[in-house]
Amino acid sequence: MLIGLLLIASSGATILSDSITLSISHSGLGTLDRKLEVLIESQQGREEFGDIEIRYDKEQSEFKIIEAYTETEDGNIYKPEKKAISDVSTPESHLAPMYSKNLLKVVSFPQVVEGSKLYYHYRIISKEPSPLPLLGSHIFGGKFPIKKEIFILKLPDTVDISFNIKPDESKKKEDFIIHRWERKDIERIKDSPYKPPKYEIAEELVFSSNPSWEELGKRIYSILKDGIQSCKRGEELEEIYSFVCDSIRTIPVSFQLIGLKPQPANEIKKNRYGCPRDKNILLISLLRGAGFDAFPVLVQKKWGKSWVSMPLGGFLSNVEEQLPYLSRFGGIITGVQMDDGIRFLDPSCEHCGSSYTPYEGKRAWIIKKDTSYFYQILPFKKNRIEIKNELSLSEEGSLEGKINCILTGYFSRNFQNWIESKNEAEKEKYLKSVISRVSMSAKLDTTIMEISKDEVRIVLEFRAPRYTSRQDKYLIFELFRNPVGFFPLSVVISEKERIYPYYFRFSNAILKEESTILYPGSLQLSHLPETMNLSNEGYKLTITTTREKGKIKYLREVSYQKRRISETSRFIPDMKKFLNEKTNRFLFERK
Amino acid sequence: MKLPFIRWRFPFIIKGMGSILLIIIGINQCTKGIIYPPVLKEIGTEKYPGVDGVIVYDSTKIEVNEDGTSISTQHKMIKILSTYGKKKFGEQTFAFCTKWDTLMVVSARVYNPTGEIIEVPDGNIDVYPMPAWEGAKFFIPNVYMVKITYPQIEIWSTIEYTIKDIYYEPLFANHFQYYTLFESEYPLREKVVQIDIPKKMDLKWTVLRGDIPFKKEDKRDREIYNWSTRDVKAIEKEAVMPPIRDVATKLLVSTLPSWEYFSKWYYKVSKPTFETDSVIKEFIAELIKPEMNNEEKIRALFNWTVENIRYVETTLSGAKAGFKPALATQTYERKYGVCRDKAAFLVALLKEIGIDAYIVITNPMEMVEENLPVDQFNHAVVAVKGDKGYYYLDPTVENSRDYLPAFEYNGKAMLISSEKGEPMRYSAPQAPEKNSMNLIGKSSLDKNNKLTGTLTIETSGIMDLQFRTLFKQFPPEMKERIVTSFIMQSNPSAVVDTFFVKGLSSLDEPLSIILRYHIDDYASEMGELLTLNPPLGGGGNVSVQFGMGNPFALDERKYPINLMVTLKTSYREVMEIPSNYKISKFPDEFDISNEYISLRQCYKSKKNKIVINSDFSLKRARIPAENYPEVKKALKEADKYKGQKILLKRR
Repeated sequence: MLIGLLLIASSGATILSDSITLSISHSGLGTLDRKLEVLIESQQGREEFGDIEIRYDKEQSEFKIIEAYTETEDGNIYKPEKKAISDVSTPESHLAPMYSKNLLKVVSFPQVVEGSKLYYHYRIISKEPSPLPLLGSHIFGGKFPIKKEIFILKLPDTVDISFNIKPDESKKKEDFIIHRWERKDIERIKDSPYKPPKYEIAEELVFSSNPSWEELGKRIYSILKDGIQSCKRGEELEEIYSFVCDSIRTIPVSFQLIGLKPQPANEIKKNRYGCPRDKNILLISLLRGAGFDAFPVLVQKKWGKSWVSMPLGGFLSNVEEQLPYLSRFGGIITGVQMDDGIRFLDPSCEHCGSSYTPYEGKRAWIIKKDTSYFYQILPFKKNRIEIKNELSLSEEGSLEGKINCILTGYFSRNFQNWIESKNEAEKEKYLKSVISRVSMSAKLDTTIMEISKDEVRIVLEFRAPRYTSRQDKYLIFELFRNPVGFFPLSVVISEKERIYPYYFRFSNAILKEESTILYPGSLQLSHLPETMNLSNEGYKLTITTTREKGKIKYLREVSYQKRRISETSRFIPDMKKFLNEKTNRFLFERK
Repeated sequence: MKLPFIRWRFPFIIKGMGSILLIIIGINQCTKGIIYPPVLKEIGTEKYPGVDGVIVYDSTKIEVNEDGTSISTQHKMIKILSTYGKKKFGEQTFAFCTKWDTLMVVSARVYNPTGEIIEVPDGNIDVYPMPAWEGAKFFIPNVYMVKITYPQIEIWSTIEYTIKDIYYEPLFANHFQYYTLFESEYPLREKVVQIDIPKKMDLKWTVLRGDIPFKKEDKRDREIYNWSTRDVKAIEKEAVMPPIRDVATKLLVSTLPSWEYFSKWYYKVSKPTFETDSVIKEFIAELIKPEMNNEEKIRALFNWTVENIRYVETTLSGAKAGFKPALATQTYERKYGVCRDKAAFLVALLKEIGIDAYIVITNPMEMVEENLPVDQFNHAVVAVKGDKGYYYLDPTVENSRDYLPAFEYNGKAMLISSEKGEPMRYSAPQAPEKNSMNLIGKSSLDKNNKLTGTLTIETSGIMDLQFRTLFKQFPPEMKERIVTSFIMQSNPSAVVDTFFVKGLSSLDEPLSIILRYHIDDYASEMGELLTLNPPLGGGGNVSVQFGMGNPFALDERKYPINLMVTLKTSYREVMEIPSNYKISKFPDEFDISNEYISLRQCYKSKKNKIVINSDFSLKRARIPAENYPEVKKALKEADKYKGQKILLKRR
């Protein structure tokens, strides 16, 4: 069962009050009650709050609007008309209708202008108790400033519950205990590229009635094992993995939205499609059939909106110290016990290959029949864009040569995700577009693009007759920068000051550009870019140039060594220095 | 929602309470009697290299009734030739709206290369309300999606479906109109369109951009029109090309007599919505001052509508749902609506103050072919009759200072609806100066090689709209990043010290940005030389990148470049150099111009200052394929100046 609430936050509005009450009855039925009051301050707030969308599962819960209205500045009250309240499908119900029946209850408020206040009180009542014990989390704060935020947990007095944050108040009422937390004047979470997940920036309340991770692990295993069946497909791990990866179409929907209960593996194998949860259950089944010790592994949620879910829960860095809860686990992958350790496979990660997973370097929770434990997935060392340029410059400023580019890991995957929709002719046009970044007048002589599971290789031989031109006796040559693949560079330094640490989607990454530039004897090399070596915790920025007679060797390398870089580091000024235009500028003089 | 499959012969539609209850029916789900089509064996990667799939067969048969209702049966087969093809074709999705049509899946199956034929089970056909995508403002629960998820597909499988679409509420009573394409982005082995229609309806048709073999058969009081084609190559997409509907071979059919008829029809549909009440009259009286002239009144009402009626679509209701606007009184009460609601509302306000205003239907994204009156519209705006003819206002585009935003100029179809009926008109070309970005810089390089400067960015037209939208709809920290990124495009080392945005609070004032910045260690010291670029980059450095790549990368093009707008960027910089240096050499001056593009660059010196002037204009919103080579030539010509710098020598 899933009750979802989408918190839309940005400046342009102030949340005057947001009160959520989560009640569990003695029979285990849950009710989520929310009262929201928002002041609209600008067009942005109007766009964000004019239509409030709340996710819920119509089959498993009932949605009631208790009250909804707009109060304008002059005190008039306007209620949404009937046709302004609708049930439409969620994006995941469109992408995966066989899995998800989630709907969005949408209320389009009238008279939403600057100065209006919106008031919305709704209730979501579950029809069935959850198969899991009570566990959950709530984050205080969001994109908008919040004047007052209240979270209330009302539980039968027979439920033994633990929290990571002590309630501000706990009182007994009949045979229930009501715990209450209140926070005032919460500053908004600002928008910033590559910022950490919300639960690392804002205060997260975690609650759990589960005594331990072990206990929770057993419960989860008991749900997942129902899908694991005896089935066979080959003997070799790579062969089995490739089959599940390539032959079973991925229906992209997270178990967070559709629950943990899997479809039977043989059904997935027969149908040739499945969500990531089911593809992994199939993989586990096939691997076990071939004699491997394979098991499910829960991994952190990918990027995207977080929502309060009931009764799922979450995951912090020192996870063993936290209460057992689930909400931050967004994915399931497969672990295989090998002689030299555990190998992690993700058959729903298209274009990843068997050696790379986007969860590399992250904590994972291994779930086995009789035990569960946390494990650090080893960082993947080959998230790289490596470029070798062999170039030849003429006296008049024309340039020709060969660009040899290899993308691996994260960059290979991203590139393949993007290029897969293009047919051969379109790929050819794309390569022509790439070379136009070198020079508008460049012509491609030959192109090679080889795409395999683990890497992308692009080779371009080109001629650029008008790459640069002389000014009297001087010829200034600026070497082009990586024309293939996207490596986060200037986008990470578009802020004057950094509020949050950087949090990349890889545990480490390297962009390495090596260029050999031949030049004619009629030109004298007068100036090279300076050598640069800037490093600090988490990054290293290097430029080196060497010269020999008629030849320059130039190396430019960016290395992110950690997923996280501190906001107090010198990263912004160092990167600005590194990206300075003159770091790839050479001066030649005609002899 | 999974509706039961009922093995009846004919669709069963229940009308009740103003809404339609739909039952999806399957007809004979057994594969008995179905054979593996031999043609599938001919289709493979040898005959069709480098594509993800081939449309083996695509047939549409439409049976039209005198009252305009119709039943359309589509039968399609697609063979999958790649892994991506499985993703692309593994599901097929259709839509219907309970206000005017209903859809049923007659059959769906998979043919596997082993010869196995698999019927799609009932459980794999889902019906659900249209989804709401993040950021989109369409919440229409009475539009439904029907999705077929094909099981057991692999490379070289063929998917097949037959669907029936029953139009019981035609847009025009007693008329029929329709269009379809005979090309697609995938190779097409065979396509057939058949229309079976009463003779008295007098069907007209035309084919654009190609020829399609045609046959007509008389059958008592009916006629059967048949168009079919075979072995059509795939459209090879190019960056920034027009939508496929604008370049593909297209069949248009219609019984409507003229565009005037269409115009009159829409007038009748929308007229009742222009009525105002005392509340609106009072509002107008508060907004419009007696001393205002007509232009000021129009501007005031336009600005108010743009800024105060938010865009959102909710449940479609009423007759001609999707076309008929909401009542102006309703839109005012709600303070939201979609394009037709906002347009009708503005028409109501303008009429109330005695302005000759009309609602107009248009399509800003795709062509509306003039040849036959067929509905190809997706947007509504307003026309006002002035002294020099009609001019257009679009109150839907929030944050637009211009009555008509740039992408609705340059030949967009405009059908003004009036009582007597209007012919199709097209919007005028727009000069690039109307969409301009003027960059005015003043900078100084000191002896420590630090460049400090101010930059004023003045905008108009589409540039004003883009910046204004970004600033108004994103949080404050994003504004700083937008401004910083702007200058960092040319100089990643730039640091914005302060910035100020003028004109954001009112549409009466153009938007401008003033920023102060500095760049440490700016110029390259190369022996006796100091080499540098102007702060916003050297001329000749035209970088045009769109989502699908650079439209100017190809040597030749088959399709036009569809820029949608004209544009002009001007850059004026006065740069002071350190007193211990003198100017040695400037980048060369150039002036390259043709009908479509112009690039200019000029450097002058004034004591110890450098005055830089450069301009770049895209003069036409569309560059025909046959004229593309001259544009490419111009850009290549400018390219050679890209590498040149300002050279200073030590005194």
